[in-house]
Amino acid sequence: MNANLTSVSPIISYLEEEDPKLQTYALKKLNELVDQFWPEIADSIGLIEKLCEDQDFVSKELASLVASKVYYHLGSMNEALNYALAAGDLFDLSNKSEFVETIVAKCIDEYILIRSQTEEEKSQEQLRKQAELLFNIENVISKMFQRCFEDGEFKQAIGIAIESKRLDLIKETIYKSGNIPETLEYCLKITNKYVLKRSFRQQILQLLIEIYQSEQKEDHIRICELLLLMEDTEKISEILMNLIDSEKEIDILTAYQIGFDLCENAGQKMLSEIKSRIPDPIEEKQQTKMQEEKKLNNDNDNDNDEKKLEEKTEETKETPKPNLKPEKIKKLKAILNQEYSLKLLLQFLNLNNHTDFQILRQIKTKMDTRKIALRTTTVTAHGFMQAGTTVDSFLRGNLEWLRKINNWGKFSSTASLGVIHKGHIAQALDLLSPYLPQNGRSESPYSEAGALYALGIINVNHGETSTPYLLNMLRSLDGNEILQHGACLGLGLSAMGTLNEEIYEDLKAICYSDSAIAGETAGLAMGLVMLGSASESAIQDMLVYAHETQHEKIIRSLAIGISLIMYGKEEAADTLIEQLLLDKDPILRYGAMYTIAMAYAGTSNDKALKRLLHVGVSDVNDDVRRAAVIAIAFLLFKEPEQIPQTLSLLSKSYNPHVRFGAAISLGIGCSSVKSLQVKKQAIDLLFPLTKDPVDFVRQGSFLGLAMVLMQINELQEPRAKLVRDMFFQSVSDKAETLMAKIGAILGAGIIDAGGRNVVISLQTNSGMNDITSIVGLSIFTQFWFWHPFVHLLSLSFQPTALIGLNINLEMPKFKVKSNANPDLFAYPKPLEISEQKKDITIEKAVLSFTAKALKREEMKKEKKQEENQENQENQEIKENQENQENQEIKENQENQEIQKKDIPKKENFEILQNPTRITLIQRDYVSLDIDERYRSIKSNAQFGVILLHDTKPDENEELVIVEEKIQTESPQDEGEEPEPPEPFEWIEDLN
Amino acid sequence: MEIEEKQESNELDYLTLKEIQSQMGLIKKYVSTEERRFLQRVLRKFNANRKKMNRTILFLLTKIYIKPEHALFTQLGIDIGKLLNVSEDEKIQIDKMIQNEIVIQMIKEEKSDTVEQEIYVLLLLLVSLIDFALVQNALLIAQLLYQIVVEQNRRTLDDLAAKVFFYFARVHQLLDKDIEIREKLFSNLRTATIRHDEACQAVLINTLLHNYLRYNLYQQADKLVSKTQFPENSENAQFARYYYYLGRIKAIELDYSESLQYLTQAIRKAPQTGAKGFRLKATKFLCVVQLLMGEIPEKDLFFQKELQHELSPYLEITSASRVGNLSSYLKVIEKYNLIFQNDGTYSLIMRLKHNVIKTGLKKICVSYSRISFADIASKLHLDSENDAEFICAKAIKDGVIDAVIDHENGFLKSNQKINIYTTFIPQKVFDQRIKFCLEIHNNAIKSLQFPDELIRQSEKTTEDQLERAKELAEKANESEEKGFDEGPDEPDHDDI
Repeated sequence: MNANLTSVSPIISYLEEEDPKLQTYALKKLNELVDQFWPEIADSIGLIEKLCEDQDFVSKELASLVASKVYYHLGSMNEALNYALAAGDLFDLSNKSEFVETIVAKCIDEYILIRSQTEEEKSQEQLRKQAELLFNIENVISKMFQRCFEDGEFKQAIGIAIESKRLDLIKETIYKSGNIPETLEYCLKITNKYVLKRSFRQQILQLLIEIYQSEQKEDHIRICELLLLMEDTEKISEILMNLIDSEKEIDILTAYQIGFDLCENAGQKMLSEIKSRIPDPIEEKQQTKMQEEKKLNNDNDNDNDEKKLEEKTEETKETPKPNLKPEKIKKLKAILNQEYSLKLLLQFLNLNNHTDFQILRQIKTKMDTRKIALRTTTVTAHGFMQAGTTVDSFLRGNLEWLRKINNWGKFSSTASLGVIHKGHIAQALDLLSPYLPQNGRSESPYSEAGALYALGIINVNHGETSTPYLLNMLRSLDGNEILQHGACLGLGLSAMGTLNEEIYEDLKAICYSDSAIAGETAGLAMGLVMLGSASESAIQDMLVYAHETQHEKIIRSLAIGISLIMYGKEEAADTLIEQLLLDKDPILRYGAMYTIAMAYAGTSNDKALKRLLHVGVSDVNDDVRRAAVIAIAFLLFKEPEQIPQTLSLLSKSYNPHVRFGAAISLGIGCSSVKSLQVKKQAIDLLFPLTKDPVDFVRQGSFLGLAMVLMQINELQEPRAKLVRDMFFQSVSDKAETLMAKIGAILGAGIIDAGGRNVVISLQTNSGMNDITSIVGLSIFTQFWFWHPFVHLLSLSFQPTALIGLNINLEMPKFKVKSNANPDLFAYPKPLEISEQKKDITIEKAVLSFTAKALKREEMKKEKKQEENQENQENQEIKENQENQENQEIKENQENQEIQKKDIPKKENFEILQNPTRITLIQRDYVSLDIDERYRSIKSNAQFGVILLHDTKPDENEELVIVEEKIQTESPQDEGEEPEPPEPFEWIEDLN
Repeated sequence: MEIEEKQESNELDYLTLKEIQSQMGLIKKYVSTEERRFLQRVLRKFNANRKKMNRTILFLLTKIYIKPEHALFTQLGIDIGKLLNVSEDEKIQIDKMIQNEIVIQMIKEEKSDTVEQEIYVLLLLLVSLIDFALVQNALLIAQLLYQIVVEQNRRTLDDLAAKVFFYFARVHQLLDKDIEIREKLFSNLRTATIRHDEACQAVLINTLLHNYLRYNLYQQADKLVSKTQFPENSENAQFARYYYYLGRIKAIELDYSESLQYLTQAIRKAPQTGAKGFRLKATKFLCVVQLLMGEIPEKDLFFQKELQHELSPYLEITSASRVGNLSSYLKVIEKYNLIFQNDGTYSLIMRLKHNVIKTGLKKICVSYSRISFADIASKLHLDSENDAEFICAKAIKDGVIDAVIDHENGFLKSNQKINIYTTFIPQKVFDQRIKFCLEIHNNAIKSLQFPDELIRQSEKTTEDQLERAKELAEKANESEEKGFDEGPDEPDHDDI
């Protein structure tokens, strides 16, 4: 019948009849035919709508269904949805037709929209209208959930529940899904990624914690991570205590693991809170304290101490269990004190130090010696290279050469000592004692101030011992601006995030003294101390003073300080941001940009990003624009794929400041990316900037490239070699400006930072924001105005280590497999100095065209031959080196089984020994399960410090032997390759 | 001699095979890169390929790209040999070619691992079957293709799917089965709209309109047009077709000026060479509509090179109505009755009668300041004086002539001719022309698009640039034929 039907107008005319039976008949027919004849029916939609609204009409639901279908065909989905909802049960959700699917999708969208509007946004009338609609929609939604459950589509259900802000449905879905841990995991992942409103995210997290806790097999590590996000120290310490009380080994390991994770993820305030909540073991309280004191005092006796500890553990093993507890608590406390993690990382960096001194020597010989700034920069670069390795032999070996550095250069050079010894808390004061001010006698205020700054860097975020020292120092300085400058900075770093009012008041007093030099860091330090507190009184103080003072330096310092106070506050910072953005003073607008960066760090918030992009292209002040572009990296670092895309246009901006900002932003954002693809995109953008006509853009691009190429060798990215060469070229190029040269030297330092064992990362191994790192980088970017801030880049260095520990917190021999060619992730080869270059003598110029043409021909031929030769030579050299390296590796692995197997060189896997460097990209290739004996107790994130469960406790454990005394000499200089004997003065003469 | 010829044709076949092989490579590239230009390049060659097809090539192609054990064929039990009606002679030739190295190699190397490639080969098979007049067999393939396309939800399939829909409808139309598929097309249109699949949307709207117009369902067609949005970025070919249908619908609805506008646009959007069937039809309607508006078409219209012969009846009708000669008009209608009915213009031409009379009356008015109704009746071949008077009254009311009727004395008195430049008419005409020019200008600007950022990036290497330049040149050469598969209504002009 349908086939022959050409028009439905006769059926439509039935609708005008009075008899409801006829009308129903017509509607039934139309419902069947609507898919083909909707264009015709659409003209009479008024009739059908009238029937829908007629309360007495029997089949008004059918009428609604027809109307809905017509509107659906017409493409006006809102009406279609309304009528579909009015159709009640006739709108059959189980029907999988396109019509139903589309309407349901629309329905869900609408529901999410309604739910996400806050109450204030809706007017009274809308509310009334929506209440009706909402009832119907909720019916559909609950049916949809039912269907999701039946089909096993729990991920979809979770997504919709989160988007529509239905906590009850989230809970229901998680419980109904068969695999609760997996669903929880998924839910957590998307919550952190997509829920932008902080308050709602906290609600979901709270819910998730509840569910996690109600699980039979509690995932303590996960719960503690969540609690940390909620900043609930009480519960964390509770869990820790419960775990420690347990008799099972696994639980104790878990407690330790949580401890290490907390060290990594929590600020010092939270850590000390947790610590204070864990009661001290009563019997041994005295002893513990004594021991701790002892430890601090007798650093040289560390070995003995350690041995004692070990002996003790052996003893305790045999004694009955209750006696074990205090020992365990003590260990846990030590972990929370960060003693272990810092020590382990220091050991790791020191042992695996792969710094290539040739690079520094090259730079030193090639650069223009008259420029003192370059020397200071070289020292800084050296600091980066050796950051955290405690190897300062270069400085000690070149004292003569350093002597020319004066004034603030001295300040900076001394501070670089702090970078080198970063984390070496135990010996910090000893190391720096020659430079620290003694009893108010001030011989060289610059280096003394630098030492105070260095102390801050060493003790950053764990300043239990250094904070009181620095505070005392600050109070005893009586008005020496330079020393105050250093002391404020040091104090701010070491008391970071403690919210200590006393320190804050002291700093405020210095700031109010209106000295530009001291004020430049005092404002910053105020922000550091109140980090993330959103303290209104502090912000008020700082804002008022920023308007009062005449010194730009102080205003800037206060502006950055304010931004630090709003760290992680997201929407709560919006009013302040608005206020700062509207300020006349560009420095405060500059501060607004940093406030966005800090408040929304790592959230990828769309609104914030839009604001940054807008300011980045529209503000009248170059500084503000630059800051806006740099801030983008802070916002997006958790979704690095977006960064190159977002910055691609900005990096081609006409404004050099924006280009500079884009370069730095790319460097910061793409340094710790796991995907080589994204890195390559970033390099694609950065490369053209190295040829930029403006020198500071070149500087920025050098820094950016160095950051992106950290831990990347030639095999992964061929351009790595090019960039390294470029740094040398730029240093020796006479035409190059000072600015770009500084960039090149710093770049050479950054690219090999931390003995090639660290990357710049804004997040911790477990994917949370790394506060120290974010703060460090944000202040680092102030080096535009004040060069010593450059040292703070080292705060963001994160060792890419895998360190396995057993229950006694010792490193057992533990194997890890990397399923990739060993060369792919190898350290870059040490630099070779080509000897030939020295022999080149300059020929006399002969002015003759014919001779020249002939020569050119010859030259070409020769060149080719030379190239061939060189290639061959290079290859030989490479091979030699590889052999050497192999030998080294072998030596390192003495007395081990692996040596017997003797890995063939071109194997496509590699067995790595605890502790080892695993670069970010390598992580995907690493499997931890090849070792038969030890199992990691963490299931997902497998990097950083992990605790291992011993499956064969009866067997003898082999431990990695670590020399307790940390070497301060470069380990590479020992062994087969003796240090070149020639003194440096001689080299200088030669050139 | 014959052997040589055969040899030659074999050579040609190999060349064609090679060419199609390279196009298949492009399709693969398109699927992996999702860059539409690769596919467009292949589709542009579609008609050229179509002309080169013969049974041998088709057999080999299906052999190479669609293995006989493929589920597609076993499902329907189709045997290609039978399907193509291969004769004994050809069989021998095919066997010989299969032995050839090139073919053996191709069979080995080429594997169709994407649906897109399969669809392309099947499309070639389908159009060739239509060309070979094996419509029943074509129907099988068309249904098979339709099934594949509807089941898949791949965005890379859109352009090919559009082609599939077109030929699916076309085969049904040839078999007079197009009423049956109307519902299917509607549901496809809905799916395409929801998926924002513009290529399919455009084709489906056109096929539906065609479907309606074939059965004179003008009202339905008009409703469909008013309720749907034709995608703005469609190909010119689809736009030409759409405007043509719109023109026809508007003409039937007495909205001649709109109709004229659409028809001129349709002709303008159609390719200047080729697609003869389409241009012919559109020109015929244009001519009639223009006459209905009381305008006389330019003479050039009837003397276009390829269309001259077919347009001669319309030339005659034009000259009849130009003069206002009712008798010659009636004669022409009688003479070409069948042709007009075939063209679908008959009903419109019947409407012309009034225009012819009015034109005659106008002429009389200009020539005579006063004339009796009897004379008018004899001049216009009207039946009676009364009729003449009524017609005159109507004409005066419509504003065709400016005259006064003197009923008592039985004559028509025309008023003094007024200067046309004192009226708004020139202004209106001028306005119309400006509008026309502006529209051309706007359309031209629209078609000037900047290349995509993506394309620009991929052009980094010189190789890519060369390729792109080549492509552009190709495009310029072939844009003429692009996309016109066949005339919308003309079974006779399939090969265009």
